[in-house]
Amino acid sequence: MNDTPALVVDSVSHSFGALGVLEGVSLAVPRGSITAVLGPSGGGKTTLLRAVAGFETPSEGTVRIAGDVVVHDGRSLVPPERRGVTIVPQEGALFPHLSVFDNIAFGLKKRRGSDAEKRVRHLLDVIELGDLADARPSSLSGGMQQRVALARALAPSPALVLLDEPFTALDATLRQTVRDEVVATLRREGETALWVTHDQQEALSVADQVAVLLDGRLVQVADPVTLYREPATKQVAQFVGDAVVLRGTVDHDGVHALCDTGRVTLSRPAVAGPTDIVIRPEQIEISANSVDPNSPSCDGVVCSTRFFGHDGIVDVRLASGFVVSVRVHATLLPAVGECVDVRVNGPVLAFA
Amino acid sequence: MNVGRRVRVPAPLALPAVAAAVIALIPAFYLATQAFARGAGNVWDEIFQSRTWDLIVRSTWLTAVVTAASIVVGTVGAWVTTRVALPGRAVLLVLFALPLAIPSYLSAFAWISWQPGLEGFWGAVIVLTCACYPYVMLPVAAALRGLDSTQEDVARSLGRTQRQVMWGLVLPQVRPSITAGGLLVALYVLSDFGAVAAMRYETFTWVIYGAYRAGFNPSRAAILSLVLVAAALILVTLESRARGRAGAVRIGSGVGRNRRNTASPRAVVGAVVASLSIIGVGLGVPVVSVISWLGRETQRSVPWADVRGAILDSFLIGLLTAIATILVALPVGIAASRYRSRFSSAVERSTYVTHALPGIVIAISVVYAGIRLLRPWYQKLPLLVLGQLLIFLPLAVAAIRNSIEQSSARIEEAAKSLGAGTMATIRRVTVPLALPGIGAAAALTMLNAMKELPTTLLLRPTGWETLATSIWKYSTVSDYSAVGPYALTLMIVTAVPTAIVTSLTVLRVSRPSSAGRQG
Repeated sequence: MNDTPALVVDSVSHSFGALGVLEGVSLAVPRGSITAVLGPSGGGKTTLLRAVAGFETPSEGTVRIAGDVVVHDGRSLVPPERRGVTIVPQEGALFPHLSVFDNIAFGLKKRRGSDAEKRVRHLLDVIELGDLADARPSSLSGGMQQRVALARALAPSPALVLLDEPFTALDATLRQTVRDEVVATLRREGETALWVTHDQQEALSVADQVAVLLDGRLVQVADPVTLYREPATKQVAQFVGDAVVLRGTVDHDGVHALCDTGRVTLSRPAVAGPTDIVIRPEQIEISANSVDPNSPSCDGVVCSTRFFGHDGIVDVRLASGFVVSVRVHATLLPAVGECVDVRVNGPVLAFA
Repeated sequence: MNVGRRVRVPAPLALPAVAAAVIALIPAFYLATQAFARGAGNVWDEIFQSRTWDLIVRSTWLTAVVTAASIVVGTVGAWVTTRVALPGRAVLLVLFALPLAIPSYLSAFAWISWQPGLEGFWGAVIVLTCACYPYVMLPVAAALRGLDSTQEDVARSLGRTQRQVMWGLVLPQVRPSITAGGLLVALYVLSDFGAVAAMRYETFTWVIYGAYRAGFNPSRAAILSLVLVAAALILVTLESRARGRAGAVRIGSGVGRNRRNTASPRAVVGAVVASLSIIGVGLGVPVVSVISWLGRETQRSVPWADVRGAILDSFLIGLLTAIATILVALPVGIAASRYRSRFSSAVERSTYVTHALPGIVIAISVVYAGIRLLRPWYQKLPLLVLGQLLIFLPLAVAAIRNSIEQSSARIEEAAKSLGAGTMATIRRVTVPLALPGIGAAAALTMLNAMKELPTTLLLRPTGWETLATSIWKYSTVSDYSAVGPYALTLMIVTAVPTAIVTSLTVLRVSRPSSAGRQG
């Protein structure tokens, strides 16, 4: 019984008028796990989330929550309030007329009595806002509001918590801290979560499983490491991290290829012939070479550098004329115009 | 993103909303029935008469002159209160807005008692302009305040003079607000009964009242009403379009910050002269007149029991009207804001139909409906409350709808995802959040109902006298010393809340950044 996934989305399609926003999306979210739905804005993420929550009825496909069918072929069988799915919206959407305590207690079957009191107190402790039970939402900072929104969503012990880009309204430094706290809370409480985001770093760092949604289609569903190392398509490779794309040719052995940086090893066998080679910037290593930049033995010439403090990006013009961006330790930033040796570490990806 | 979404209004909301729509359509239905009672030929005969044409010309002329005057006075008032470095501009704006609180019949009688020679066209123009210019001033002042002042700085830095900036940049941007306000003024003038009746200037509303009182030709009253409604409908349509554009201008512009106000001596002197004239004509004359009426009260003692009775009657009618109006408007407002569909917008539009019906027309049609349909209520309190409700329903629906839309629909979705059903969400989240707006709508309805004249005059139960009808009763026979106590009470009762509401609005509008939406 406990093997039943908390959420199963099966071949779900949806459109607004003529505009298709979801096409044949299938996804399973195992109990107690965090699944991130990663995609650019306008890619259909929010529609998928609203379809699961029940605020949108997809025109095709089935949605099961804890084994129960809630949507089937364009008909909503269970209204939002009876799905056992709670949401943490973008801006928190706390009830401004209720105290923090009453906000968290809102979804409980019995909002009065010692059980409710205990549950709310527990969650207040979990989000470390025990002192602010009587505060009004308007007196809280943005980060605190989001923590209350999470506690409110967790209070009724839902089958699934939906997080809709929960931290976009926060500034960058706060975002990191609140995100860590929220993930820790979800883990500690053993919750199942579907987390929608356009931030690949967020998706890769919080999730057990990442589903990449591009133009309404789920292109790949995988754990973060696999997704980053072995993206299914070139687009996914470019979307989940920085990527250098070079033209190249796969050797007849199918495991090596020749490109502007020289001979590289492929992470998985490919068909011989012309191909796109995708290299992560951190795989490329450069080292100073004192030869004359114009000599044929020079791999590349530094054409610009950007300094970020802890590291930097160096743009190197290869002998072929192609410019690659390389991430280097800040202490190793070469000067513009210098000649550098270019080396590629580890296997790279080829997409024909 | 509403395209293709199927929204069903839940039954517990849909049924009362439909009931509200049906109630709102009663006057239009009975008006049409009555007008065509003697056949369509009779309708044409009544319309194509030189008497009717005279009426159309006189009403149009009055409407045009008052609208033009209100636009000038209102725009000047808005400029003075937003752009000139005068001390206490917020207080000035409230003082400028106060004539809104003085019923037009009362200020008309005030002018006549002071200058009997004003009776007629120009008297009506003065009184109606004073009553109406705030409809232009308030939106234009808001638009002026909402303009991004950096735009003007940019234009100056690009070589435009202050004057060029004013005419070429500022005015075009506030023009939609001027248009919307002007149309509102036109609608008010067309529907006004009190001022033209007091000034004895024959326009539609007064002639309709006369035809009704004469009694021998009820279908003439209905037919003239139809013509008036047709004109009002055109204005309502234009007004709602203009309002949409005015809104768009303000949404697009940023928040005005660090605005420098004109402090040039010429502008300040001009502003002071303009302010004194506006306050003197709009507020000074009515207030001084009413106080002088009280001073005449020497020979007789004030009939305090009658005054107390009128206050109580006004209060009770206002309270009942407010409660009834909010109860009827609430389901419509919720359906229109949260369950948008063809059904809900049809229901909402039906309640707006009465917006195009002048008070006197609604009163007459409710009389007909009462005689035919609600006989037991005829000349009883419920029928008067129904008539008042019909007048104020559109305002209440719009206010409730706006206040609900102030809060994000996401908050209600959060409530539903937490297990609250449709009605529970409305009860626990939607209504509590909109409560300030609903309360304001109720208060405004109550105030307006207390000073409302034509419907009260026609539908009040036998033996009831409100402040408004008492003022009417004594003023029409020029017994101003008897009017004094009633007039002063009505002024105090309506002016104080209006001042409070306006100053709250002014404060909120002038600090839009602090009133940002709840996170």
